[in-house]
Amino acid sequence: MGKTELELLSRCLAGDNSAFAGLLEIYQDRIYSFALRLLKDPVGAEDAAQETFIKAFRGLSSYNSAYPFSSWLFRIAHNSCMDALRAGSRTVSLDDADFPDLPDRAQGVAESVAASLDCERIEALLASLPPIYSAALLLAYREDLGPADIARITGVPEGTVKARLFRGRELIKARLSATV
Amino acid sequence: MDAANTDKLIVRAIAALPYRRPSAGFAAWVMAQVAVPHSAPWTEYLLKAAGLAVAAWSAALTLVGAKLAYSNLPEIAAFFIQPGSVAQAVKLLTARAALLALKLAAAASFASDLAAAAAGWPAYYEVAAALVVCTAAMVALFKRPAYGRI
Repeated sequence: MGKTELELLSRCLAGDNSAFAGLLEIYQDRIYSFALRLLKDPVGAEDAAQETFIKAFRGLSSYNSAYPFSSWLFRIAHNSCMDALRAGSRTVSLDDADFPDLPDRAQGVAESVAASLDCERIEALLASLPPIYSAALLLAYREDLGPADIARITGVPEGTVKARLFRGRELIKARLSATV
Repeated sequence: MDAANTDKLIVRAIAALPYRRPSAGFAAWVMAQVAVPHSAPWTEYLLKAAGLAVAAWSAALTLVGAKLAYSNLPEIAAFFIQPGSVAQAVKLLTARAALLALKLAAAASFASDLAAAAAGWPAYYEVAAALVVCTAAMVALFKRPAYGRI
């Protein structure tokens, strides 16, 4: 956690509401992007991100500084997004459809296909995954959070996080090879 | 191409995803919401109302008791001036306490009879024990760690 962030947090906790604007500036793009990639809807993502910041502000006193502030904020964002997905009656369950059969071994993907993974393509592939996988992949590789942090954010054991990361990558590979 | 290399490319591609920016009014809207005083949830109002009711009743009882004591002050004073009045007061209080104990025992017995009269219902102490166990289980199941309390 940066010095500025710590200072802003302590000012917020001391009752200086204007310091929250600094925290908002630091995290708004990250939280909004995370919500947008999970919800695939700009309006819904903005609502979820706004809800995240408001909940964070009102719950600042319950924040445990032993853990990173970012993972605490992402936990709120993750919960807001899951609530939004449930409210929109989109599947966040463990149905068969969410767990497509995977081959025993990772499929070989043509080098040219994997190497051509540009921003637009990976966005589309992530969007095609069930939210539990895209959330794990985004938190691990885009936000650079460890399995322990992701486990706290998503509320599942660390082993489940590792399994989701593995299956998420396998699903992307399967979809990539299917496009060849 | 081997799977490990593909994994690396996927990880690199996700890591390179750009952050999107929310609409222009986003931060202003959040700050406006933050500035609005947060209304307490209904449970807080309920607790406050219960607290106020208890305080009001206590105040009313104290007032009535004080008024009663004040209006009977000459009799009370006369009673305590008499020789052996303290012993008499102790006896009176003991008798009152014994009466109260009898009333409580009768009430407990009546509650027990009621519980026994309800056909098919377990005894009151079994219901109470089950309630305690269920509450403890529910608290243990739904209690979230401090980290996730939001």
